[in-house]
Amino acid sequence: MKKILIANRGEIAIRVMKTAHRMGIKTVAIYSEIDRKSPHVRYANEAVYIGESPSNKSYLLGDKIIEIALEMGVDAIHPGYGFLSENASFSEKVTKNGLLFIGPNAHAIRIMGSKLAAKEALKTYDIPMVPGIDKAVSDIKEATVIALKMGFPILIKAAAGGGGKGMRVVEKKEDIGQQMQRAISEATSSFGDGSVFIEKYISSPRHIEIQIMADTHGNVIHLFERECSIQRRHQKLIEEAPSVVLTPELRKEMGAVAVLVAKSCDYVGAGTVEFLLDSRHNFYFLEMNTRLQVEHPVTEFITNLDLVELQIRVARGEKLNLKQEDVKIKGHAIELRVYAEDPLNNFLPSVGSLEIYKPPTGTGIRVDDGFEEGMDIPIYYDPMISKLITYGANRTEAIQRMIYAINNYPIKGVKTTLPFGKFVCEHPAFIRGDFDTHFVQNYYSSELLKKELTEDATLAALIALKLYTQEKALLRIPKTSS
Amino acid sequence: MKKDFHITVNEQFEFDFNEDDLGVLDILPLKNNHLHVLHQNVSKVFSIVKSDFQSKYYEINIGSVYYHITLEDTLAIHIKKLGFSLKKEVFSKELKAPMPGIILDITVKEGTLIKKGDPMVILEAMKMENTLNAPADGIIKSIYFSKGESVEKGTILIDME
Repeated sequence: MKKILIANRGEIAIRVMKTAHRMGIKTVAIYSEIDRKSPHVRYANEAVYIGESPSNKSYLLGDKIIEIALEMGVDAIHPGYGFLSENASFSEKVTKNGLLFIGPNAHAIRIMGSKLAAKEALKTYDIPMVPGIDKAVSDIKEATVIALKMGFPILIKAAAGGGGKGMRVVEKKEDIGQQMQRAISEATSSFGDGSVFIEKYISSPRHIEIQIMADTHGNVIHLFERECSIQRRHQKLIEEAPSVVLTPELRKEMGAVAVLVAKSCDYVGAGTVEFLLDSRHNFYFLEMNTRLQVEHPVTEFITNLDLVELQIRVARGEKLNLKQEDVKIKGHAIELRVYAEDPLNNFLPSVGSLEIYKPPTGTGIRVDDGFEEGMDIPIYYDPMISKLITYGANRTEAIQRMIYAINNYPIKGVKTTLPFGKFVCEHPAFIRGDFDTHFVQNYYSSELLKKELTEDATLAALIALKLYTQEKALLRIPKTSS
Repeated sequence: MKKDFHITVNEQFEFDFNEDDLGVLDILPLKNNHLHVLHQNVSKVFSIVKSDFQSKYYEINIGSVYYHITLEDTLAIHIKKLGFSLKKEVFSKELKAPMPGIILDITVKEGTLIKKGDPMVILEAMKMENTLNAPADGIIKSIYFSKGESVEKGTILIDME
């Protein structure tokens, strides 16, 4: 493998290129109109314009991307996450055109990409599942009957979903109609497939996922868990590894189930098996993500492995040079997703220009980003500015490093989730490790964050008043003469 | 007690202070445009990004946060209050875009009678669909956009009466 094309943008494109370059592999970037100035374009050895800014006219154009790849003489395509990463027909077409797809084959993506097909494939294995129906519904009356039988609250989910899109919790009968319409519409526009299904909503779960890695020789290992319970709108904001609640026995058990899930679909490459863990530590299979995850850096920190390197080696047909007993957890890592969103205003997107942007540096601090000072945050894509990851010998050290890193990450021009990250890292429940996916709902409110921020805001107000009075005193002197 | 200054920080925090409230605000200049402040034994490093005496506008950086600070004296506040109370009567019924995005759907027509909280517009921003609801009861007077158009934050989408 001499040259790869990265069918993505931003931080993940750069992340993949870094490893490729280190392995002596050349890289080709693609970019949309608005991304001409994005750092990923400069980071690559070569870059090709793909189309207009909206993703359906650029980063989602599978055929055009393959055409470019063939023209540029690349050997393989890395899809990153999002966009075409979990598109089975794209994976298939890449392979049919004689290129390598750095990811699983179409068969595995197809099965795991549809939650209903995944349930079907796993039926023969002994894998714990959340109670729910195993077929798609679109009729509101039918959905209401199912919901009443199952008992509220229920969760409406897009069969082709991911990232919280097309997902709605329904608390009472009256809301089913409106919420289903929203879920179907979101699912149609995000995934091109409007089928939704219904599941019992487990009310205080932790979201724990297991990283797996499989080669083409039938070897599958797991790289332990990531705890991703700190979420808003069903989207992860903070992830850490290891999880404070997993005992070595439970870790081993969940790891074994994750490996089984991977084997059930002949999985190849890096993948993630997501579970819900209830308050009594029962775990249920949620879904499998057939791609490299946003939060993969925390696993890299605690295992000292480069997941992109492993992906590339597996795609080249190499055998995994690791056995399950070779991988060990060392230390603790936390990731904060820095989004251009205002935590004081319901996490609404905050678009603008990064007038000042200075990522922190230091021991145990990693920043994966695709922006630089002076750039605008485009409205066409995810509002993630960067991922801030910190590592420590233990959880306390990782948390304290995160707080230090947040305090030394000046961003001006847009509101970000940095103050929220600090709020969480300083919260007693988070420090104790005593939380579930309702952390934000239970412990966070904009008023609380505002109260915490008031101390510095007061100081800023006083400093300004002092500067003003000092200047006024200076100006008074010449004034007397007039 | 009446205060001389009304101070707004980042449009989110409001304080009323007198010069007396400054107390012992101990500020020490450091290298590279940084300053050190001790206030009630709390120690912080900050820098002054902007300072405009004429318009009473200051910008200060503490840690990773930038604070935009506007000072107003009490007289200015009175004028502002009068201005606002006049405006309120006229422009109270409009739907503004709370964020930039693309209009996916408009569920009302001109002339429709609607109640506060009724869904009016579905706005997509950053791949999430957001339902914008009616801010008050009323009749739709004008709709300024149609499906598929992109709008900036704060744009008036719909006027009601």
